Amino acid sequence: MILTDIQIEAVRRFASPIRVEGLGAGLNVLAAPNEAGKSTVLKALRAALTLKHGSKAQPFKDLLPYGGGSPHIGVAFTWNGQSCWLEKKFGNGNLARLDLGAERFDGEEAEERLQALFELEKINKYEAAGLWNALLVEQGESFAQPPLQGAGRASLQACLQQSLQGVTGTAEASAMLALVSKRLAQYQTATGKVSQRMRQVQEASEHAHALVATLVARREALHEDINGLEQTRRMLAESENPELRRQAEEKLVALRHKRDLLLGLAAQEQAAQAQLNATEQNLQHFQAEQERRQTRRADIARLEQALAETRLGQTELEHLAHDADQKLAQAQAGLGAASTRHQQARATLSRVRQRAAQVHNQQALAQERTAFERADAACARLEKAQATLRVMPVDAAFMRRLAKAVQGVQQAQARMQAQATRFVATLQADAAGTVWLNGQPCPLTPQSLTDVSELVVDGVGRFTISPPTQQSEALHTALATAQTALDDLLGEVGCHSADQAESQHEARRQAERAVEQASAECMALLNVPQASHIGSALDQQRQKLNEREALFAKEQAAQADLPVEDAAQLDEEQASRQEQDALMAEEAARQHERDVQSQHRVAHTRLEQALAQTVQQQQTLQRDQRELSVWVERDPDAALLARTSQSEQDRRHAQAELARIAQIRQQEEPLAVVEQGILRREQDMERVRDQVTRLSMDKMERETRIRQAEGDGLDEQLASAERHAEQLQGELAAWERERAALALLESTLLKAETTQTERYLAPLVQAMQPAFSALFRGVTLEVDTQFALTGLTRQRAEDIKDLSDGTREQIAVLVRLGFAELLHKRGAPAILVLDDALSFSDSQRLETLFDVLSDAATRLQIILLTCHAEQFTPLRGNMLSLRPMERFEVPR
Amino acid sequence: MKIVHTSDWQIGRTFSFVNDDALGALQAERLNVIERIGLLARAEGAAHVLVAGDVYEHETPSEHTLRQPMERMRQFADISWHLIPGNHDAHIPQGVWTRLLRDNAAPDNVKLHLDPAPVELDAAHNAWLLPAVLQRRHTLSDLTAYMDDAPTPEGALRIGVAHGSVVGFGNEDEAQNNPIAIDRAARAGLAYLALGDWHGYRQINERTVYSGTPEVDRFGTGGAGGGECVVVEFAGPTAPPRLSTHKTGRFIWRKFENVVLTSGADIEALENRVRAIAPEQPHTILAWLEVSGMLGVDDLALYESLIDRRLRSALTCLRLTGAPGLAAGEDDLDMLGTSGPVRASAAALLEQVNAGGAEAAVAQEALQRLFLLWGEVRRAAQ
Repeated sequence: MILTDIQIEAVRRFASPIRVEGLGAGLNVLAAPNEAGKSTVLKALRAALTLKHGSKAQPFKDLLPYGGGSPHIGVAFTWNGQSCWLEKKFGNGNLARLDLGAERFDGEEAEERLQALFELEKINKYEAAGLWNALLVEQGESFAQPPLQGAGRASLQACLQQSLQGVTGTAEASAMLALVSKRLAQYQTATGKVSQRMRQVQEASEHAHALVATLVARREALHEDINGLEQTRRMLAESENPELRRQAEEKLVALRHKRDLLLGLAAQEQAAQAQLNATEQNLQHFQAEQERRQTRRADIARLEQALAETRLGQTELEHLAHDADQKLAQAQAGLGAASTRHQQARATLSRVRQRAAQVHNQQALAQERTAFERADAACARLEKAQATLRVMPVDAAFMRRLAKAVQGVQQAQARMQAQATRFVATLQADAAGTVWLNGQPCPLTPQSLTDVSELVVDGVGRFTISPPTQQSEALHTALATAQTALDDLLGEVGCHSADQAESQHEARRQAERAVEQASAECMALLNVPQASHIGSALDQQRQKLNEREALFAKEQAAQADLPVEDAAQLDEEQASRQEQDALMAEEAARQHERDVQSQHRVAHTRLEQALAQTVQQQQTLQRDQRELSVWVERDPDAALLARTSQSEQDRRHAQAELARIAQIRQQEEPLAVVEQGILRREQDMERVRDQVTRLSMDKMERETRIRQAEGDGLDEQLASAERHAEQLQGELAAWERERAALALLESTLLKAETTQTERYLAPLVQAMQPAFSALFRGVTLEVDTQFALTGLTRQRAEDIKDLSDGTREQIAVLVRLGFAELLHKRGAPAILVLDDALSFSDSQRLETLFDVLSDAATRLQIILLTCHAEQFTPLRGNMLSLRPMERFEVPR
Repeated sequence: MKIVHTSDWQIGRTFSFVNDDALGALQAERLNVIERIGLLARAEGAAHVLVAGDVYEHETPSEHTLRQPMERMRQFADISWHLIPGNHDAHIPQGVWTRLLRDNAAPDNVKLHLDPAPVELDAAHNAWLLPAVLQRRHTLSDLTAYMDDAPTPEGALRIGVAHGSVVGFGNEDEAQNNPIAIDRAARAGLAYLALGDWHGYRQINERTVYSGTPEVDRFGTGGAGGGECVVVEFAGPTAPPRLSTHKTGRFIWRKFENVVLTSGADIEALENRVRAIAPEQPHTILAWLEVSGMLGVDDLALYESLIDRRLRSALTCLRLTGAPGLAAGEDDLDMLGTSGPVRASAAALLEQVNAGGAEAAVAQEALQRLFLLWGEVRRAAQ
């Protein structure tokens, strides 16, 4: 097979049609810079072979041009001496066409023929794959050995089978294996787990066994119900036994009759007891009435005797009361005289005390007058000092203002001095007087000249000294202003100088001290806290003194109006002693009067009590006599005695009746026992009725359940369920046998196929060996059953994965070349396309690889796509180029 | 006077080894045979049919199953059907007999004998039936013992009917339950003792007989085989009855034990033997084959074809126990080609088979399938 033309339109970077020009047998090299479209060419070629024209999947999207459009690819090739044309368009207006010589196939048919020709196998709806995927090596793929699956392996196996005479059966084994796997899939999954179908049978078997267990349980429950029902029926029959019930009812009737009898006796006993009680009550009443009358008569006799004795004692008490009245009148007269004498002594003592108080008040007034006068004098001195102070204006505030003004003048002078011209004259001794400054002899001390000065030296001439005029005027003005302020301030207090002001200030300070002293004296005398209160305090004190003096004068005038008596000759102590004596005499007279009063009261009280006792005794006597006469009148004593006798007879009769009843009851069972017996039997009958009800319910429930089970045909259900479970069990066992046999068959077949495949590998290694030997001297290859080169042995065994990137790429390229050689050898279409491969090989290896590829190119077409034109120049193959076309050209 | 003696109908019986279709047919036939018994009675002029127990298979059949045989017997109003309980349908509380009485399900011509006492068979007081009644599944006492002293009119015909095991004729183990004295007929003055329990016809003595089931229900029926009823003719109360058996069963159950297959001829012979049971009606056959032997690859395929597929389809039930082994040798492997994975696999499996042990059986099965599938693969390739 030789590719002769490739046309691409609207694929990735190729929006417009291009053609790969220069294709021919043997080696072909497309050398172009990066992003020239080499990889796009390879992708287009692979898509034309493996991607179905109706694809909408990702590989189709990868083909889409950047500017939009439908990818369009055409590949011309020769095969078995005939010209062929493969054309595919994807997306809008998609098409597939395959011309094999004179035969033309379109659409799906073209796809199928294409897959058959290139031994491809569908891997999904839109893609196919095969060994050809290993021969079209895209950028970056050359570093890895090609993974083979499905059709790829089958193609390779077909190649190897053909090359191995006498080895057969691989295809049949594969078919067999597929068949076994398909059947085994009915029983287990690919991972060896139980299949869905088998699991369903297992679950059905479990369910069937569960159903059997349920039915067995139901059957046992049914048997229990049947047995229980029989027992219930027996118990029910016993409970409902009419003979037993009749006996129980008869016994109950007898007991009730006996109870009625006992209740009648109890009523008779109760009536007799009531009769007895009433009789005894009457008897007690009659006897009590008789006793009451006897008692009342005795009381009357005793009262009459006591009344006579009380009247005798009453006369004696009346005499004693009259004597007490006389003694009381005498004691009251003595008490009145003693009280009069005491009043007189108290009046005398009072007058003596008034005179003493008057003398004392007079002395106190004199002392107050003296203190007031001292305070008044101090106040006068204070007013005078204050008047002196008010006429002295130079106070401390003024002095602070003055000091500030003086300081301003001094500062102005100092600034002027600082600006003044220093004038120092040193004169010879004989020059004194010949020199004049401002008309004055020239001083020998240093001078500060602040104004234009004139120096005259006699005999010499006149000199004018002009100080610096800068700021002179301002300084003079400032000095004048300060001086004027000072003068104005002094003028305010009438001073001519600061010294005079200071003197006046000192005099003011002395006046202030005098005011302070006078004020302190006044405050002390008038006892006020502040100086401002002095005036008002003095006035108040004056007014109060005047008022007290007026009052005292009034008291003296009143005292003078009183008559002079003996008491005036007594002092206070004497008058007091006389008053005490009179008081004691009065107290003694009062105590005597109280004693007599008490005796008087006792005498009269006893008399009144005697009178009251007499009255009470008379009233009680009259009442008792009246009541007794009423009782006798209402119920004569003879009738009362007759009723008492009748009641005693009734009591004896009732007692005899009670004794008779007690005797009868001793012969019968106690009523409580009889009633308990009735209750017990009634409860027993009630219990039997309940039991009958309960048993009837139980019977009905069991019968219902049994009827239900009967209707269900429980035994039949159980037999059916057991049969079903047994069948499922048998089915499971059969399936398990089948599964085990198929699993063993599958594993045996797989093992045999692997062993067979290993035998195929020898020709593969044989096919690849020359190329490998050219590159790696003395190498032996190790290939696994998946057709992957796993190691090579040079001096020693080496694992592929341990080799360098460059070496692994060379090995991968050689493996792919070996595959292509095998395909070619079998007569199948085969080329090898490498995109940007071998770039990591050193120059020596590359030279050898070129030799290997050149040798292979004598048998099959090899296309190299590279951006390193200089490296591949030695190959001397067909140099390809990408040439734009005006339009896609379909060969005629 | 004639009667028909039958027993062990066991209505409602199930069979685990048959498929659902066959089960339905077998169960239906156990009802259909009642009709055949009724027709037999009419044909023989027998006014009474004695069913000696086990009318039902289960103690609690469904309502449908309970009433089905009653309705079949109702169709023969001119015949009196006398039923007694058996060990399968003992007269237990709430059992089938209670249900039938309670629901008034038995027609007038069906007599349920549930008390062990003489029952008048005809209005002339010439014949009396003495039933033995099982009131539990198993009893250790002889329920026919009462017959010895059961009063009947002088000169009357006494016919006993019971369900149990006659003691003293080689079935001692079975006779432990529900025993019946072997000389009960003589001791009780019975003209005939109709027995049930054995499913095959068996005559104990001239007056004591097991009728067997009228429709066979098992492969090992015992006795002289089932599927029959007994017609009993009485010439007088003391004369020995005249017995005749009549086929009533439809299905034929047959078991072939120790069938050894070594060649294709053996296979064909086996098929012929089975078909020969009822050449015209193979669908009435239930066959149980206990198969063993070794067959070559081709013969094994033949076995599968003739026995496992063709014969199985022809019969109501083909029950297989065991299977012929694959007698594959090196020569048989040649059909798999001279080399290749399939032949290698077969050789490996054959080696496992020859090695014996637990894995050999699985290997044998795997080898059989290999040859069977190989045929499929080859046919697909052609």
